[in-house]
Amino acid sequence: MNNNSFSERAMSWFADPRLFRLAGRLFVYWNSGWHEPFNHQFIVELDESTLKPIGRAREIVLEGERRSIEKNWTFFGDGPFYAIYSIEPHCVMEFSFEGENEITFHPTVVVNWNNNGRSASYGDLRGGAIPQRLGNYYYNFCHSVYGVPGSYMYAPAVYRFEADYPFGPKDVSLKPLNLVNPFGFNDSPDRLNPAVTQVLYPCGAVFKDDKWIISYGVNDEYSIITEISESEVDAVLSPVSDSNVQDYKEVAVMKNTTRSVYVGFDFWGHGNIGDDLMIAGFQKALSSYQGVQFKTHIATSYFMESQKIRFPNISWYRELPDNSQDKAAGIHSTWVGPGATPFQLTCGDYVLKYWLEQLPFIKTFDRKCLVNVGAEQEIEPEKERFSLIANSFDKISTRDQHSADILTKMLGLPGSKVYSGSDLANIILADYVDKNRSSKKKFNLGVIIAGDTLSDEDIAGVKDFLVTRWRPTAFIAGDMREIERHECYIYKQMIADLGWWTKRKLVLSVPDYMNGDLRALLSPIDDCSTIISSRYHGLLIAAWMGCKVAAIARSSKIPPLAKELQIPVCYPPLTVRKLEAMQKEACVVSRNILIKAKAKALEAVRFGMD
Amino acid sequence: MNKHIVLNNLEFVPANWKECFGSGKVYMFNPSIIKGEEDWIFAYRMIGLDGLRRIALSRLDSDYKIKKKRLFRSVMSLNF
Repeated sequence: MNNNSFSERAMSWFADPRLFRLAGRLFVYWNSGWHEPFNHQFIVELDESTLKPIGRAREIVLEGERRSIEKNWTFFGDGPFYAIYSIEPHCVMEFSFEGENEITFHPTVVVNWNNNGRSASYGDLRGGAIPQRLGNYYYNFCHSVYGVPGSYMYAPAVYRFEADYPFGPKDVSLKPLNLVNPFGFNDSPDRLNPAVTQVLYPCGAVFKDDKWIISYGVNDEYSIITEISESEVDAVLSPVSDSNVQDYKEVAVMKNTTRSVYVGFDFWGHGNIGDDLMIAGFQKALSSYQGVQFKTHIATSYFMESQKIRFPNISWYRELPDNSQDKAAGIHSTWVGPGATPFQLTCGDYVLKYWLEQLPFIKTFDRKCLVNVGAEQEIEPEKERFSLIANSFDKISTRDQHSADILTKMLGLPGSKVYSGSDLANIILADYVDKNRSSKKKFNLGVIIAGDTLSDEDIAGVKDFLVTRWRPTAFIAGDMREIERHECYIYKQMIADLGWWTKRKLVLSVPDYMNGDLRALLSPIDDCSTIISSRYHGLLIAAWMGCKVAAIARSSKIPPLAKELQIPVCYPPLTVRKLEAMQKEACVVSRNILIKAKAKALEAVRFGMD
Repeated sequence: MNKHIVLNNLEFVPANWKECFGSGKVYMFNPSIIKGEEDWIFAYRMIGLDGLRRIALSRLDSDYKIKKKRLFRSVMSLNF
C-alpha cells in the first residue's frame, strides 16, 4: 500500500492505541478518529527492544459492509487469530498476517446473548482493552455509554467469554466497574468532546500476581493505572443467559453465486406506505451481500405500477411463479416473507388462511424463512395452527423481542431458529434521514389514526382532541385507500359535521402513492414537528425524520416499539386528556437508538437468509 | 479504594515534541499497557498546543514510573 492510497487525515491522526501480542510478536493498533467518508484502522509490528515499527503500517479491513466509523476491534487467539468486532451481539472475526498489504478480517461467528438488562441502564458494551486469557476464558475490560448528548457518561465494564469457538459470553458485570475518577465530571466548554461529561475508558489490561492491572483514560485528558484483585473482578460478574449462535462459515458456500428470492405475502402495493418501506429495506439488505447476486420476484394483485416505479429492479408478477426454472438451472431458491405481521388475527383470519393455502408451495423451496416479522399476542386462540406454520421455516427473525418471545414461548420454536432483530424499514429510512429533509415544518402536529382496532368512542376522542387544537393539524394517511376505518375514510366522517373554520384547520395529507418515489411517501410526516401515530411505520418514519413522536397502542405491536424508541404511549379508550398528554410528552428519538435498530435489522435479515 | 496511580501528563511528553507542545495544556489519555520482559510497555494518546493527535510509547518501571520515552513516530517515519 503506498502513501497515495490514504488521505492526509488517515496518516496524521492517531487515536486510541492498543498494545497486543500474538504468537509472541508485539503490535500496536490505532484508528484515524472520526472523519468523512470513513475512518481507517491500522496495525504495525513493534521491535520489542527499541519500540520502533517493523515494516509497514497495515490497514485492517472488514470483509463485507463496513460502518463509516470502525474502532475498538480487539485481538486474541494463539493461532488462528481472531478479533472481536462487536460485543453485543458478540461478533468474532478471523484473520491472518499473510501478505504485505491490508489485512482482511472475515466474520466467523455471532453469538446473540442477553446481558440481563445491563444495556437498558448503561448502554451496549463496546471494546476497550485487549482480551486476556485466564484458564478457559478471556476477560475483556470494556465500556458502554449512556445518558443524553451533552451529558454522556462512560460506564467501564468487564465480561468474560469462552476461549474456544464460538467464544460465547459467559458472565458480565451488571453495574459499572469501580474505577477511580479523581477529576470528577468535566463540563468545561473547551473539553475535547462536548457530548460527554465523564469518560472512564479501559484501554489496557494485564493479569499478574492474582490481580488485574488496568490502564484507563479519564475525561479525554488523563491516564490512570489501577490494580484490582482477581476476587473483586470475579465478584462483579453475573452469568448471562439466552445466547444463540450464527456461524458465518456456513455462509461461505453461498458466496459468488446467484440466488433467487421469491417474496411471499400478497398485499404488496395495496396502498400502505409501511409495506413499501419494508420491501425497500429488504432490497437494501440484500444489496449489502458481497459476492451474491439476488434476483427478487414478487407478486401483487394491487397497484403494480406504483411498485415498478419504486422498485424497478424487482421482477413483478400478478402471481408468483414456481421455482422449477431455478431448479433446472441449479440456482438456489429461497422463499422469504419479509416484514409485516404474519402471526396475527387482529385483522381477521385471512393471514391464517393464506398460510394454510401456501405451505405446500413454500415447501418446494431450498430455503424457507421469515425475516424481521412481527407476531401478536392475539394469535393465542389459534396457537396450534400457527405453531405448525412457524415450524415449516428454517429460520425466523423478528422485528422485536416481543415477537421473538411469542414464537419461542407460545409457538414452541427452539431459540436457535429465532433471532430478535428490528423492523426492515429502519434499513432504508437511515438513507433518507439527512437527505432532502423539510427544513420548514408546515404543521406543528400531525396524527396518523388507523382505526381498524379502535372503537367509535376512540375515534370520537381523537376528533374531540383535534377540533380543540389552535393551529392547523395534518391528518396523515399511512394507507391511501378510502376503505372503512382507514385514515381517508375516518377523515371524511370526522369533518362531515364540522364548521368551515374547523375543517380548514384539519388538513388531510395523503402521500403520492401511485407515482411518487420513496421520498414522496415520507413527506407528509416530515412536514410535521410532532407526530402522534397509531401506525407502527408512522412512528418509525417520524422517529427517523427527527419529529417529536408519541404512540397510540392500537395493537400489541405498538407498545414494544414505543419502548424501543423510548417514546410515550397511550392506550384506549382515547380521550382528549390522554392525547393532550401525548402531544406534550412527545419526544425526539435518539439517533443512537435508531442506528442500533438499523444494525439489528440488517443482522436479522442475514440470520434468516444465511 | 483500589491502588491507583494518576500519571503526570507533562512527564510523558517525548523530548522532541516539547517544542511543539510549548507550555500549554497537555492531554495524555486512553493508555494501553502490556508486560515487557523486565518492565511495562505503555502506549497513549497525546494532544498538545498544535492540536495534532499523536501516539507515544514509553516504558514504565515496576511502580509504573516512566523509564524511557520513545516517540511513536508519526507521519514521516511510519510507512503506510
